[in-house]
Formats: sequence, structure tokens, C-alpha cells
Amino acid sequence: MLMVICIGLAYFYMKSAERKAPRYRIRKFPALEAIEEAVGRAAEMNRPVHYTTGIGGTDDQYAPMTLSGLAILGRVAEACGKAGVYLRYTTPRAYLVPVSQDIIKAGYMKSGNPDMYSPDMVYYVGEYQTAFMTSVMGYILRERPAVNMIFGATLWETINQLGAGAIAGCIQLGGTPRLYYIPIMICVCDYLLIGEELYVAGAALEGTPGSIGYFRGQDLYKILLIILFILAAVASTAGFNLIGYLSAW
Amino acid sequence: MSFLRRIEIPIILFAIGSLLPLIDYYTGNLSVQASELLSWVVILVTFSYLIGVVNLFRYHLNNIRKGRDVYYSVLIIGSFLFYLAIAYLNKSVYDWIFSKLYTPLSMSISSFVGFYTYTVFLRGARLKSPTAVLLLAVTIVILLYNTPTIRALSPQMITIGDWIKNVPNTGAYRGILIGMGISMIVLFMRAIIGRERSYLGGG
Repeated sequence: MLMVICIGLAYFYMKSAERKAPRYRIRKFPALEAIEEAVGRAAEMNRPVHYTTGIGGTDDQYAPMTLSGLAILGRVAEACGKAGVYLRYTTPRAYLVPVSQDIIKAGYMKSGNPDMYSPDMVYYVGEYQTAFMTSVMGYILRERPAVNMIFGATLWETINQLGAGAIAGCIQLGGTPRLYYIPIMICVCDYLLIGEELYVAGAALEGTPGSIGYFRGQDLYKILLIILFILAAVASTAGFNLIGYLSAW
Repeated sequence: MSFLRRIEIPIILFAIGSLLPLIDYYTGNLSVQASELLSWVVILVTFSYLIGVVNLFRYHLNNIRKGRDVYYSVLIIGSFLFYLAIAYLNKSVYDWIFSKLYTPLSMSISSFVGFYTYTVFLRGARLKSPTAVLLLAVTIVILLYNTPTIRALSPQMITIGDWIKNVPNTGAYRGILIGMGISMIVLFMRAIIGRERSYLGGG
């Protein structure tokens, strides 16, 4: 609760301060910057782009990851619309079908190429992980998309999907906060959003004073945590359990 | 614009749906409402399968009409209808298909993971920077560390492997975890006050 209050206060303060006099800027995320380049390559090769938000949905513990993945999907759809590239989105969650169709449609409309949009760009594969994995692998190996993007909640099926992407020679962009799958993504993906970077992708894409407020709020809270860690380490060395005392309090 | 198409309505619904279980978690005062809400989620998700079926049929019927991947599409639609019918007509055949056909196939496909994990490094490892090379080197060390023969032949490998796992690995792991926790709260705040609305289709 303290964390929410700290970040909230920092957000509102920074938002108003940034509106009056902009001082900070959000650093560029290579994975987000690379979207245009990757879609451009797909246009040159006249091949589609494949996108998935992974196995997670919005009704489980993976909801924040899926929401972040959907935020990036909007940008990818817009880039695909501008370049005239076919985008294929695969999902194992039925309720994400109308949501993603709407996001992709909005992206193609924003790019000024609404005629290219088709509801068939979203493909539902059934709720099972194996079906999801084999469907994506099959699509990648048959259609050979130029780009394969996986932003969201990933489980072991991602290893095979990225493996298929590597065999097909796709440019691979990925992002997940799932710690077990970050190493494999680092090895296989050309560009990657690690951990928290995926969660803030929506704010980073927005780039307004308000979104800078969120980043500053996070930074301030991290500084507070670092100070707390140093104090706890010093106190622990001196024989006083600071964290235990704070937890009990 | 129609009242029902206003963007504020889904944002309010999202905020209520997110805050109710949160308030219940911290105070314990809204347990009945939170539990009711979770039941609604289950019901809504169950009904949403129909959307998935419509999408599946439309996609594959389009494929058949256009003559694209016809065999796959016919097979999928045929399997779907057959399995749906058999679920109501003959439960024992339904169970047999699930346990003798689906489960072994599913397990065979799942076992690819072990092979892919290794081959993916060979096929897909992008050694573009010194850090990527370092990562691959560490991966090889940990691979050897987990190999019983190597552990028996070279006790130094155990020391190196233990150090990698306990010092740099644990440090990085905890750093990422703390950053993720904070970012998740930020994302949640953005969503409940309506700044994160990309999931609504507006971008």
C-alpha cells in the first residue's frame, strides 16, 4: 500500500512538473524501436509477421503480462498497416479474439490502411498448451513469416516456438517477465524486453508527460528500496534485524 | 456516441473488477462480493469459448473456400465435430480417444522441449555482442556442472557452477524480481485510472 501511495504521489507530481517544464525523457527500448525495422524487412520480403501474447490470459496471474503484450500489438498492427504487411496473431484464449481483432483493426485504421484488415488475422487455437505450441510452430514452418514476436506470458511452449522461428530464419522479438524463459529468449531473440521493461512498454510507447511520471515514480521507489537495503545490510552487520523489525511493525 | 460505446464504461468495469479482490485481500470485508465476482469470471470465460469456436470455423471455412491448406482445415473441422458428437453419443470412445490418442500425442510433442532447448542454442543463438558470448559460455559451464560425469571428473566445475548460481545469478534474479513487482503496480495504477487503454482497441 505504501508502494502504491509513493508511486501515485510521484506520478501526479512529475506529471504536473513535466507539463510545465519537461526535464526528463524515457530511454529508448531497442525491442520497441526495432518493430518498425522488422516490419519493414517483412514488407521487403513480402512475408507476414507473426505475433502472440503467449499462453497467458487476462483471467489469471499472467494478466499484466498479457495486457502489456496487447499494448505492443497495437503498435505492431499500426506498423504493419503502414508497410502493407499481413499480421497474424495467435492466441489460446477465446476471449482475446474480439479484443485482439479490435486492437489490430484500430492499428490498421490508424495507419490509413483499413482495407487490409481481416478478422482472420486473429487465430484461436484452443485452450491447451500443446495445441498452441504446435499451431504456432506449424504456422511458422509452413508460412515462414519474416518476423516472429512473442510479448507476454510464456511457458515452456515458447522454447519450441522460438526454435521454429530460428529454423525459419525469422527476426525474433520477444519480451517476458517470466524468469525461467528470459535466458532462452536472450539467446534466440534479436531484441528483447527483459522483466519490468514489458510492463512499462505501454507507457514507453505513449511517451507523454504522464507516462514519464510513472517512470519517475518507479525510479524514486527503487531509490527508497536501495536505501532500505543498505540500511538493512549495515544493521544486520551490527547485529540488528531491521527487516524483521519492520515486518513485525 | 452511444452511451454503451463510451470508453469510460469498460475502464470503470476494469477498475471495479481489479479493486474488489484487492480491497478484500487487505481488509477481508468484501469476501462475498469478491467471490461472486470470481464466479462471474468463470462463467464469462466459459461462454467465451463459443467466440473461439466461431473464430475457428470461420477461419477454416474461409481456408476451404479459398483452397488454402484445405486438408488441414477439413481435418480440424472434422475432428472437432466428431469429438463433439462422440462426447454425447459414446462416453467410452470419448475417453479412449483422450487417453490413448490425445495424451500420448501431447506428451510426444511436449518432449520436443528437451531437444529444442539444446538445438535452439546451436541454431538460433545470436552471438552479436560480447555479452551474448559470455551468456553462451556460462550456459555451457552450467550444462557441464549439471552433467554427473563432469562433476565426478572435475570438482572445480562444482565450485564454479555453485558460484555462478549463488552469486551473479541470484543477484540478477532478485533485481529483476524487484523491478517487476514495482512495474506491475505501475501498470495496475495506469489501468485503473484509465491511462492504459490499449487493451480496449484504441491503442
